[in-house]
Amino acid sequence: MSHPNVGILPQEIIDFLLSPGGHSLLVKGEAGTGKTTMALQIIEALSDQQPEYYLSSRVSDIALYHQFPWLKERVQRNQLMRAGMAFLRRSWAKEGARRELGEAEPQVDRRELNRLEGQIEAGELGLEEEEGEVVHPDGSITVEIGSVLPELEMAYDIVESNLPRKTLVVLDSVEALAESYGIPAFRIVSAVQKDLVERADTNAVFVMETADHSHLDYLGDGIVVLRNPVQGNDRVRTMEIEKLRGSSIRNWRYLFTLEGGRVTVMGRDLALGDVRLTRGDGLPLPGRGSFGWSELDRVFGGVPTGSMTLMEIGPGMPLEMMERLEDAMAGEPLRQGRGVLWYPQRTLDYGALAERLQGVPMETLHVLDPGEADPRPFVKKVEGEDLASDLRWDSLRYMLKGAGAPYVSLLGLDMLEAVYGGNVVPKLLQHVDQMRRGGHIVVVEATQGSAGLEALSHQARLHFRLEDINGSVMVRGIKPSTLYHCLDINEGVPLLRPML
Amino acid sequence: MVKGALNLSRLLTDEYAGRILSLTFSQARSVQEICAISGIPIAVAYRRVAALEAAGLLRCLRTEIAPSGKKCKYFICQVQVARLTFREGSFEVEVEWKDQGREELAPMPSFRT
Repeated sequence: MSHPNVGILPQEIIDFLLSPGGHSLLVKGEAGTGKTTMALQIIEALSDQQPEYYLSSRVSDIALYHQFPWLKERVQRNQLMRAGMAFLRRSWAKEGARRELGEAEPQVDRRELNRLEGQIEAGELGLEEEEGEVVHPDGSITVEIGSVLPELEMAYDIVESNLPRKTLVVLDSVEALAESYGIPAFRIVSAVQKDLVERADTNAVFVMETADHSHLDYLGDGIVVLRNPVQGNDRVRTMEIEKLRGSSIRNWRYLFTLEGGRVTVMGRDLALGDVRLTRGDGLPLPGRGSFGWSELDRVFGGVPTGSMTLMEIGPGMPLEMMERLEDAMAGEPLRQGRGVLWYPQRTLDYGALAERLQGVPMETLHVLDPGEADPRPFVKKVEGEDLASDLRWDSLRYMLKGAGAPYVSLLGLDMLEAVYGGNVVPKLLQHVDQMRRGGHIVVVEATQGSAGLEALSHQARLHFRLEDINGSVMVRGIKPSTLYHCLDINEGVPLLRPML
Repeated sequence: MVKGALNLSRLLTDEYAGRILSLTFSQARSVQEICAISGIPIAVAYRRVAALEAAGLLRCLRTEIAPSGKKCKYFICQVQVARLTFREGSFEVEVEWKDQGREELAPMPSFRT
């Protein structure tokens, strides 16, 4: 079974289900959190090794059929199989032997199932009455005389027929099946756990329609909870692995996206040392330049010219990521022979700068440094007493004489506040205004602790934030607002995946 | 023997019980058949059938052995006509049984304010 966009599930969950013995997994979450998608991806991931039985109340969902083209055929096959099983049982009764399912005697202990059915037949079990019609779980109607719980019985039959191979039974959702039977959900989970998982080494995935803790949590061997909590003004999907009995959990919490209709978990603490951000082939939009990174250009349409862009840095942001971004934003205009003014957010290692910029020409680079003088031609000593004086436009323009336009001014607000005091915004805006009038680009880098962040946000045409959430680098537009995008590295190429 | 006019009235006015009686009026059916046709959850159906049988409203007409070896009962409705009336300050249940004629049950307990 293959699909162009397969998605990625946590490896520890796949390993858990592939480990010896039967295992049950509760996939929990509120409506729309991706439970069914995850359950179907589990089927795909294990399909080469474990035949499956998928019972769902969602089988008329056209979107699911589009994402999982094999699903419709499987559902129809299950319906035919159930009718076929009923026919076969009648044949067995006549023939006195199992012809279709092999000669082996039944090997699935149906103790709990029989007990459950017995209680139902005696009228001892049930929920409070519900009004209205109850639809059969997969939309079909099959009457098999003497069969009290035909869908569950079919699961048992399929497990039995696949032995000694391990079967994957997926019930989506347990609550829907329980409601269709009029019995408590825990009775279904308990019967399957005891008869199939523990006694017949079956894997079972129970989709549950709530993220709340319940007594069912004690029955399952593994618990995964999908959530979609509010993060700032947006939502970010999370997958929490609460339990995997007998297995180690590398990461208990993942961020994930439903991009392309598939669950894809995001990597944590990615190695960024060898990552390079490069510009793509696409042209920036009119009135825009390039950030030097195709992904950032794609998300924000490029960096606006004749205006200021504010790049806000959240706590925990890896230093390597900041350096890669600075390298891209300085390297791109330098490559084109355009002027770059750089007042770094942190002290630069000038000896390593050429390597960081990957050998681009540095003749039009001017790094403003209030510290000790440096003989390197691109380092320009400034007094560090008065910002307006150090950024005086006529001296900067002289410095940039001969360089191509538009210029780029790359300024670290935290460093400016450390050198010139907390109230640098008014004098900084004088420089910004000069750059705007010339149609040049200003990018201000500021942490959330900087005093002038809010004031500059009002002045910025583009304001975006980089932050670390759960060990993943996330980018989000503040002005204009965008979705969260998560940094991912695919075959060495850094990407920003939309967190859908 | 019908027990309790109040219990009987509750059954007669219960939606699920009503559907079961309708489906079994002309033809004996198993609980599985009743569920498949009406959509009533299986466990609910078994409880209603048990209550209806205990009240005499349903009768097991025959028992078959299913291919799985289980016994499967087929139930048929015993009620021809049932009336719930309010007369002279109290509710009464009147049942006309199939093949047994009319039976007027004792009035249900009245509620005084």
